[in-house]
Amino acid sequence: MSGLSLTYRGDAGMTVDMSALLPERLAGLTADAIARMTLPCGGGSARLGDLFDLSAGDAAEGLLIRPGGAILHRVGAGMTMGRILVAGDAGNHAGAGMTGGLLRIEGTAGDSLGGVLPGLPLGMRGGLISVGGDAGDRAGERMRRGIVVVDGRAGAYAAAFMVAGTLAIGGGCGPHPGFGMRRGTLLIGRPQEAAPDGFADGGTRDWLFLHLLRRALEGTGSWFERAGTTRAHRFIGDLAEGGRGEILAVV
Amino acid sequence: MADLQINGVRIEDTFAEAFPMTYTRLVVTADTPAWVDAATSSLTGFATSVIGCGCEAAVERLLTPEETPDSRPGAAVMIFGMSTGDLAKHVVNRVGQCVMTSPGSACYAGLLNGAKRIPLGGGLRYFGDGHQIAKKFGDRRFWRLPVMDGEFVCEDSVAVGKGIGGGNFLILAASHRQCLAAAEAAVAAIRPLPGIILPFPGGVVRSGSKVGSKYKALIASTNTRFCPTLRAVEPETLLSPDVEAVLELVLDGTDETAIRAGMRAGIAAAVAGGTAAGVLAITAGNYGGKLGPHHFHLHEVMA
Repeated sequence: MSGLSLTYRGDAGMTVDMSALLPERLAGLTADAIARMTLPCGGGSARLGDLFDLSAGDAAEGLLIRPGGAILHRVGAGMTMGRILVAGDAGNHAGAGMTGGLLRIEGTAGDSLGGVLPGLPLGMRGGLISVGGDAGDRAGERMRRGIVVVDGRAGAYAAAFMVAGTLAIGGGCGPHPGFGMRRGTLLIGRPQEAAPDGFADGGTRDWLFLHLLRRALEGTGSWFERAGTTRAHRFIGDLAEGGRGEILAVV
Repeated sequence: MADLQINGVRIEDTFAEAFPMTYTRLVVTADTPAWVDAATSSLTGFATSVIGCGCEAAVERLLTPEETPDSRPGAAVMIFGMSTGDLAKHVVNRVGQCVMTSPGSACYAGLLNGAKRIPLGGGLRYFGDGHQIAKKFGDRRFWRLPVMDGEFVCEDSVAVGKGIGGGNFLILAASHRQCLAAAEAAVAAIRPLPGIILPFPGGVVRSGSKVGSKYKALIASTNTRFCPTLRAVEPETLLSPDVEAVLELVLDGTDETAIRAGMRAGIAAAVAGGTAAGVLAITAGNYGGKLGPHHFHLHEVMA
C-alpha cells in the first residue's frame, strides 16, 4: 500500500482517538502538518508526531496504520472515501458512521465495528470494512448501508437495530444476533442450531444475491470470498420490528 | 466513384441511411444456457422494428459464467428505442413479463455508465408486495423480489446511451435459396461482433419497407422497387431481370464504428461465394438522405 504510513512508537496500552485521521482530511497535507495535528489520547491530548513515526506519502493514496501496542479507537470513523489499512488490532468504533471507502483491519476490532457513534442515530452508511480477526460487541449496530465482513467471531448484539446493509461474520456470533433488526442481512459462516430470539425459520436454499456479495468482496481475501457455497439457512426477523431483516447461516 | 465488384458481385454506389436511437444493454442470467435462451427469446420477441413493436431488441452475445455478475451462464441483450422515455417503458415491461417470469432468471445492467438511467428492478420492486429487499454492493444497487422459485434478483436501474438504428444492406440473388444462403453467411459473420444486433427473425428481413402507402392509414408499405414479382409493373424497379430474390440485413449498433464493422463483415461474407453462388449485387436502403443523419456508403464501407 503506497501512501502515508503511521507507526505508533509510544507506550503500550495508550488509547488514542483516531477519528481525525481520515484520508479525505489528510489528502494533500505535508508530513509536518500532519505531525502537528493534535489527537485525544490517554485522557489528554498529544501531537500526532509525538505518538507516531510518519513516512512520506499522500494519504489520498491510502493510509497505513501500525498500532504497535496502542489501543486505537475510532479508526476510520466517519470515513467517506479512500483506504485505511490497520496492520494490527483496532479499538472500539472502527468505521463507525462510515459512509464510503475501504477500511481493512488485519487483526481484531473492538466494540461497535461499523456501528454508531454516541449521540448519532445511524451507524455505517456505506463503504466496506474487512476484519481479519474477531470483532467485539454490537458490530454493525444501526448500520444503514455498506458491507462489514469479519473473518473471526463477533460478540453480542451483532447487527442490533440494523436498518439495512450487510454484516458477514465468518466465525459466528455471540448472544442476541440481530436484536431489534429492521432490515438488512446478517450472514454467519456457521450453521445455527435454532432460530435466534425474535426470528422465524425461513428455510434453507441457495441465495443468488450472495454471488453478488462475493463479487463485491473480491480482493479482500475475506472468509466469504473463499467460501464455496451460497447455500444458507434463513431466519426472518426481528419480528418485533416488522420482520424484514434476515440472518443467513451458511450450511 | 468507380464501379466496385467483389468476387464478381456488384456493390452498388449507394448508401444505407440510419437514424439516432436510444439503447441500453441488459445482462440476463439463468441456471443453464437453455433457460438463458428461454428468457432472452421471450425478452427479445416481437421487437423487430420500432414501427410496429415500439422497440428493437436482440441478443448481442452469449456470456460465460466468468463474465456475469452471479457467475452463471448469461447473455447480453441490446434494446433500442426512439427515446429514453419510450425505451424505459418497453424495458421495464419486457423484463417484468419475460425475464422475471422465467425460472431461475436474474437481470443486471449491461451498461453501467451514462448520463441517463432507466429503471429495472426499481420499477418492478413493487411486485414484491412489501417483501422486496434492496442490496447495494459497491456502486450497484439490486433488488431481491420473492417469487415462487426463490428470488428474482434484478439491478435497480440501467444506463442508456445514444446509438444508431437502421444500418442495412440488401442482397440481390439469382434464386431464393442462394439469397438465403448468402444472408445466413452474413448473419454468421456479424453476430460475433460487439455493439451491434440484428433485430429481425434470424437476423434477416424479407419485407423491406418504403415510406408511405396508397392507403392513408399506413406510414410504411412494401418496398415495391425491390419486389421481384412487381418488376414488370413497377416503373421504378431496381431489380434486373436475373434477380429472383432480395433479402435485407438491418443492423442497430452503439455507434457508427460498430455499424460500419458489421456491414463490412456481413457484405464480405455474403459475397464470399461470388456470382457462382448466385449473389448478383449488394445495395442499401435509404430515403435520399433526407431522414437519417448517418449515411453508410457501401463503397466506403468496403474500401
